Amino acid sequence: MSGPTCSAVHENRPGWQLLIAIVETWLLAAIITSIPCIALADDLDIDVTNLSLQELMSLDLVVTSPAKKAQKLSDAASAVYVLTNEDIRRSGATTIQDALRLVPGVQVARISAHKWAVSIRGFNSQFASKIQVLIDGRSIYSQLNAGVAWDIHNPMLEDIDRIEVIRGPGASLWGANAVNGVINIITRNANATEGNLLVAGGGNEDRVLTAFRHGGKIDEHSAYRVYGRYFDRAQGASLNGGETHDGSRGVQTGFRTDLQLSPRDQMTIQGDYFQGQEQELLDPGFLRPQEIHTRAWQYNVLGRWQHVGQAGDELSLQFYYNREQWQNDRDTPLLLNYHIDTLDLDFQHRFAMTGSQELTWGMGYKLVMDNYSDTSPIISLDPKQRNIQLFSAFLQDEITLAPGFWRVIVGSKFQHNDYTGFEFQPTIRSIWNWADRHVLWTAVSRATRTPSRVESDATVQFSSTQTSLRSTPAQFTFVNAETLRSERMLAYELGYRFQASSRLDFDLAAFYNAYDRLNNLDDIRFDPATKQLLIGTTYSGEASAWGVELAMDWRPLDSVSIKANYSYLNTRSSVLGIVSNQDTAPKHKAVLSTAYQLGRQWELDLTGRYVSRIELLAVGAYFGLDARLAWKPLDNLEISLVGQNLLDSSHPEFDERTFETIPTEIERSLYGKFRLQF
Amino acid sequence: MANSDCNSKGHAIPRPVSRQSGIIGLLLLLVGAFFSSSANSDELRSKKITAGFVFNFAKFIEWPDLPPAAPIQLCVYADREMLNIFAELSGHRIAGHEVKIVAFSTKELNNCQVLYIDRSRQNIFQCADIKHHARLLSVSNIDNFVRQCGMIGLFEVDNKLRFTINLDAVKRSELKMSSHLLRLAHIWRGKKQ
Repeated sequence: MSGPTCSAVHENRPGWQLLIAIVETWLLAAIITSIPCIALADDLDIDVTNLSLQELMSLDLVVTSPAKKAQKLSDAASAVYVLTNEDIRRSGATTIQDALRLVPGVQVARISAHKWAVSIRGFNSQFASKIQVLIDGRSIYSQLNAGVAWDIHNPMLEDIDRIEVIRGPGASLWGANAVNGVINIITRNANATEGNLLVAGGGNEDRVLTAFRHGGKIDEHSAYRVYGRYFDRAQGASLNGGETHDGSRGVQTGFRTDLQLSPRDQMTIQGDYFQGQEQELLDPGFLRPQEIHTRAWQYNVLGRWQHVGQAGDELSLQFYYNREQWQNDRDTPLLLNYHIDTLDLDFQHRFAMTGSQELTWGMGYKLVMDNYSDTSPIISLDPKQRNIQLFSAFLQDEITLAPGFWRVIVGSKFQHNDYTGFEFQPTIRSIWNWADRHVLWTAVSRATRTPSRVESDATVQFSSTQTSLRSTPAQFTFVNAETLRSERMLAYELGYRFQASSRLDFDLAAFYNAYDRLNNLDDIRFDPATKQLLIGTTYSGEASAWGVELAMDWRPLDSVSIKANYSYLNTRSSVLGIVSNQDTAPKHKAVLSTAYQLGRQWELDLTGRYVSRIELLAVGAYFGLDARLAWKPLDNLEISLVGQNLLDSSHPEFDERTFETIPTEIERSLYGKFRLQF
Repeated sequence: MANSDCNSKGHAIPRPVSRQSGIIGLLLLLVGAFFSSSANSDELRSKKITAGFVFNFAKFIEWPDLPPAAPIQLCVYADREMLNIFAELSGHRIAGHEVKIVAFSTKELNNCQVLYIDRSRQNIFQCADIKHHARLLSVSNIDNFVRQCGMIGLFEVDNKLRFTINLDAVKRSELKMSSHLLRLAHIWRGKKQ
């Protein structure tokens, strides 16, 4: 009986029926037109006749690298998903974060027009602390607040080679904070980006989208590129009417050179410079809301030398420097003015020890130097300036027990940091190719997350309206814990990959994660002297999470590609703090992407997404539909029209007020873009 | 009861309309066609790179008495898909010679300048077929190809393609091989005395 009653509600939105009808017709037309056309969408857009032997020798045969080295996807003993350059182009995404929505097991939610919450397998937050994110080997995870400031990292999407997402602990290779997973963003080799590329466009939300790249040869086997991009993003929709004022704009430029020093030695030198401006309305709860303007800078330079020995062994040495800087426009800013400098040195060596054993080991050193020039009424740090050092080493042995059938990987990362001292993060993995096209893998790992600077040294004033206790207004002072601990996780993973035919792949992963010593704001005291409620951190939180992720990749025709995935996540916390980000991910997430090649000149892409309700944050479930139509009148010219979040005028995706950011709703976005290569 | 059930659902999901229509939309997206076969993109990529290697090898070889106007005939012994990939090289020029792609047959072998034998054909291939062709550059990704009789063997290291040159076989032949090619190669010097 409930069915008809419900649908009666639905019928008063005739716009819906129309939209569905349009989508239906579109799809059918796409399928019909795609059947007779055998226009091969060439997924390898390199012309091998134009490449030299050295260049060919530098190409990966299979484009995936889950274990700090290139490896075939089907050989990986972990849950890996790769977004290729083509996937990103066809998704219509204008940021890396938006492209990550397509990946199973990854939770992406836009909090406001320029703040994102991105996590893997739960614990989502603007300061999602349990993932590691790297761009070309450079970590963009902030040691300040244990999170990633996605808004200040804007590489040119057209020059990203691939984004590899490893779900599950990558701690034994990638270091602390790679607890729930690693997002590895890899830009193209400069040898693959010769020539000029101009991208220009805009729309109602992405008001300006422009990028330009110039790439050229230094000599026969060495190349460089320089790029610049500018974006201007509109504000989001207010949750309760009114203006939101959270627009942003920024410019990023950068370069990359890849030098072939000898047939066995390669050198990469690259750098980026970003400068941006953001507006937002802050509501600390105990002060009146204020509109603030923030300026942010981020720049870095990285050098990497790679050597391949006679016996195929590999050495790599990498150094980078990174600076992140934030500045408020007010005399007494609500947010801190600060800058953080990071120096990082990494060495890695991989070689075959015996015929059946391959050893990878490495060492690293990181120095993080921060400086807070102001205090704000909300947050202060003591001391204002601090240097944190991190030493790490790792060792991994890959043992082939039965060639072509059974391999075991044993390894661990050893780390020493200034907060908690020595950390030990071991893993054991096993992989069976038990039949042709069938792979089964399993793993048990331990991973830790080291405390952040905020956890160690901050005092924060906040109102209960910013927490899960919204209904009882009160003001708190957060004081940091006396003894810092690392959060711990023990993970059990199981995966199965199956290639049903050369055009149909399945990937299944299941996991159970047990966390303890979680950072929890649950030590509430009343301070009679200041008449304030003090809230302290204890590392007493416990939680468990289990889930399943299914992914399918089907290419029924050369001109049609269908990718579908579903993720289930169930998080339980045994101790819940007043501010908790433990159950902040949706239970269900489903993605269905279809890509059609319509004749030689047209491309149609449709992506449907479903994200279920986030109970703790009271954010409703939503469906999203993104569509892209592209016309290529010439080989080097593409004109595309993209619509994102087409199914509603706006919806909220996340409601987190741990800090003062006021969440806004994500609006339907339409933009047009042209892309010219010359 | 039905009503309250519906309402509570409607409350839980702020946009009730989007749910049902969304499901229909998603199902519709699944409507595709049931066709199969051919290779996946990874296979295609590695095959293309392999073909690129073979094409490049030819640039470093000099064939004795090859008339300037004569084509370089590249004979391919592989599956259909690999043949198609090689066919795209047809018409390109190497040192003025037009490249011609020919599907392998033992009768044609006398006219071939380059022979590529794919691993997928290793059961049918015999060393005896090529042993007496002194002006033939033989390339293959069959395991131990250079140890048996071949000139250039392709193999994978760390997801990248590498090659071994059988120096004895090159010396025995009438081909001239550029030292540049030798520098990039792993060298096999034949059986140890």
